[in-house]
Amino acid sequence: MKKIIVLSLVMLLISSMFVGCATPPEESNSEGSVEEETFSWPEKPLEIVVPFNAGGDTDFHARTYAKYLEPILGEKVLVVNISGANGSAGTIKVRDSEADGYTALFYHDSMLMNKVVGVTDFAHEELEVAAAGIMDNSYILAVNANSPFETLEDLINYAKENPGEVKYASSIGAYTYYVGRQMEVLTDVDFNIVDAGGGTDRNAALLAEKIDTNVNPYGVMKPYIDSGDFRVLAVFADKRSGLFPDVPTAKEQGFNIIAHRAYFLSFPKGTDERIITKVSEAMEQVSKIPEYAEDISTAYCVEPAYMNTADTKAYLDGAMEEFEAASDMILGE
Amino acid sequence: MLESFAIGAQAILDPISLLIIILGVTLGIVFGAIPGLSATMALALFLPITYRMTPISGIILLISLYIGGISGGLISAILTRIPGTPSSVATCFDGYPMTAKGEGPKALGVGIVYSFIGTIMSTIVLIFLAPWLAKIAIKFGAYEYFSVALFSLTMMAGLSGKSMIKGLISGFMGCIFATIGMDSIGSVQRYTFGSVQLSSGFNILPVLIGLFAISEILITAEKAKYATKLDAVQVDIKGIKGFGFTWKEFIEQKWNMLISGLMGIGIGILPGIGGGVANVMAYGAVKNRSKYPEKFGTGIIDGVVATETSNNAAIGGALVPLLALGIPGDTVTAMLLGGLTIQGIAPGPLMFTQNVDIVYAIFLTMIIGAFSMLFIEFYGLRGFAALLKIPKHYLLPGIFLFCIIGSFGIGNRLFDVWTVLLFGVLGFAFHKVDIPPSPFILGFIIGPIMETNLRRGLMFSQGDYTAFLTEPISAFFLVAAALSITLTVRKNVKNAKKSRLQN
Amino acid sequence: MSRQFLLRYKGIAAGIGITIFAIAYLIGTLFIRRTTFVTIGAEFMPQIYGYILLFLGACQIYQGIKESKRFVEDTQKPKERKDIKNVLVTFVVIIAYVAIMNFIGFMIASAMLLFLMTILLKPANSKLNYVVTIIFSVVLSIGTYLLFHNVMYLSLPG
Repeated sequence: MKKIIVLSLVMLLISSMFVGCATPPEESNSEGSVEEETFSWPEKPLEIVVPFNAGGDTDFHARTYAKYLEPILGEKVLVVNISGANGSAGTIKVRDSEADGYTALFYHDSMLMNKVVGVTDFAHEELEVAAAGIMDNSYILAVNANSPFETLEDLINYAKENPGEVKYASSIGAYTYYVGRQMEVLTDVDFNIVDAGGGTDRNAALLAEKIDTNVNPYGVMKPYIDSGDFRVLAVFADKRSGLFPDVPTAKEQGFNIIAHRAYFLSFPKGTDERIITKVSEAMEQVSKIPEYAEDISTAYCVEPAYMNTADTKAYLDGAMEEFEAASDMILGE
Repeated sequence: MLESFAIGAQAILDPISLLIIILGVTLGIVFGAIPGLSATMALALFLPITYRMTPISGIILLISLYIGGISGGLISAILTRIPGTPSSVATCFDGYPMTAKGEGPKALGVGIVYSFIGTIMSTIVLIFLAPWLAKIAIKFGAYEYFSVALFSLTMMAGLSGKSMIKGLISGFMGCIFATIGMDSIGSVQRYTFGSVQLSSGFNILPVLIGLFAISEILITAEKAKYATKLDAVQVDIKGIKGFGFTWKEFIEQKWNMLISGLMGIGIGILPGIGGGVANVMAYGAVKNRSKYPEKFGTGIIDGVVATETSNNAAIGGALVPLLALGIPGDTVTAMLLGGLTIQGIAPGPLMFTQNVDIVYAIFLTMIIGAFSMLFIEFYGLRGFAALLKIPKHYLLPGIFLFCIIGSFGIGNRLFDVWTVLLFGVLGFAFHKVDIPPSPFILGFIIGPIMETNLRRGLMFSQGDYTAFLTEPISAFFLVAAALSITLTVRKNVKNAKKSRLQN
Repeated sequence: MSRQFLLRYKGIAAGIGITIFAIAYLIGTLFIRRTTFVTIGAEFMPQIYGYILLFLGACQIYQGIKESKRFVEDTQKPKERKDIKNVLVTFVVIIAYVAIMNFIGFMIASAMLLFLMTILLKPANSKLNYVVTIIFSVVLSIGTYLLFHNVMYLSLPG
């Protein structure tokens, strides 16, 4: 037994020697952080946490941003996927990280929805919001091409006359569900709001005419719109999109329904203000790069829309208020 | 069609692309073969790299990783009784007993050849029938999914081994553990005790690793002190010829192969069900139609043929809805979709007309990938078998380390590592009282599909249960489920009577 | 309390364990929030599973009793001895490993774990070459760390 203990100590020594060799830069870094002198952030790679697995829209936007931020910041920008609990696991991880400006979170409005639904007990107020880079206001309402509805009005009128018959698909408790309920209240109709899974599942359901309408960002349904399988009745935005200008807004048709989500970057609470400003400015620069705009429009049909720190905060506060006012509806109580 | 192939060939028949395929398949096999790592992880790690590649290079790398990863799972399942992915759970049933009998190389050979056949079968179906099959796949809505899930669940009884009750206990425990976390409709917290980490529930991979790998380590620890020579498995590597089995055996397996392949494809095209269920279903089906069902589980090649043909056939199946409809069925295909989307390619109805080069590049990659897999694994066979010469007290700690890394890699959080430990204890407890762990995995996968679609269906029908019976496809599977239950119960009663008479 | 006793009644014990678990799980369903989205809520399937498991637990107890009556003590076969203590030690080592990984880093923790686990799993009658074991532990832990952390950007602790 003694032998074992001695041996494990020897091993500890050996392996710690290796560790010592492997990571000297980090140790020397922590010593030399004299803040007053000059502001030299970033001095090492910046880590952006995406709270979902690789391959989704959030991941795509974060990585595209990272690609264009790198030359501006002059350091590597790494994307790390920390998934779990509908984005909350990554959010918590960033909130609890050191506020040294090297860990950031890339997320969108669902962070607020998670608080309303009760997955977490906090949202953006416990983070240092930097800026929003993309405002996805491409939420559209589509029907199958075989459907008799040609305009939003047709659909609403039919739903009025036949309460509970029009199947409106969404993921219950998620944003599109909220939009559907908003529509019901605003237009005084009664949909049969059904759960038909995520974006792509709903495409299949609409294709097979198992549901009557589907609300999602344009990019999710694009292949079917291009192929002529789906017909778009309206986009829930203030004004028509430059990427699909033929689609009228719901507002034009007399229904004031707006839906959107902002992808924003935030840091742990207490991060140096200068870092926030610097990142925010860098993001503004990215949003003006034409190649960047092209990348995101070919992949997800969205346009860059930069919002500075104050505007992003105000936007999030407003959205939070809106969701909280509707929490009974979202929770199904 | 020939023209399209020419376009695809033009895109990938250059040295670099071929190198990517071979590299991808090799890496995939390595990831699949090491318990804890998996095809899913291989794709997750390499997906970001493809963002900076050309669309064709990126997609062929991902497809090659996928093919290699699913096939590689057979190696650890056969040699160590630890399935590396849910797709190879049932491969352990007969694969490991063969190893224990000293027929490890033969089991590997069979697994490799039928993985190849499964991939090729499904690729052919994908090439010729994809748009048509996709039209069938979308006919499956909530009602149909519920009924298929229920039918799959009845297979649990067939996986049970000696005691049907213990098998069912295991299966329903799987369903129960899958209910922990946010429910799929309305995000209601269930059994999370206020923990955010728990609210996404347990991931299948740590559950699998815990139940099989950690419990295996604990079982070994239990026997260590008194073991004469830790059930050392004998392997004769020099005696291996070819793939280790004869033409006669190959001919004998033709119906098993065909049935398993078709089941793999059929289950694969239903988004969300996939290889994890296909291998178990195919094993059950082949066992049921066999003239000697009692020999299953003792180490016969029929079992390996069934599982390995079907899980690889599910690959081509899963690509049907992905390419023709843009619908991913599981994490792996979701990542493939992400990989394509990022390159500005949108799988969907126009894919087969607008992106002919990509589509046929994928087809050709699958064919070339399947051949690469066959060759790499054929020449690696002796090497894999030689792994058994490594003493268990080195092999298992090594595997353990990869399990930890693999579970950590799922979401970069320690929670998944703790999950592994929790299910390790459960697996050990199951072992102590002879409860089989495999039905647990099936229940864990199927349970949520069944529940979600039951509730979705009731939303569609506004609370009317009869809708499940009036929809023809759904009704068909419900009747099949009822039949399956009746047959299993009857068989069990008969067996019980028989054993009583013998006593 | 002999091994034979344990073997004889383990079927019953399993049944009782399952039954208790099923009851606890069923009680848990009472705490699931009720919603109005669908006619059946989030508590519906857990209740079904719970009752089925309860029934299966009862069946298992019944079968366990039957088995224990039929049980014949097998004294002729050489006893396969087992060592529960070693299992517990192994498990404690694994838990300690995960718990301290965040503090001392992946490499050191893994090297120690591999070393200890090799000793714990070693068959009693075979000799262990400690030098080989140390090299094995250190090389494997450092190698995997470098591979996954530096090549594949997995953010392993430490």
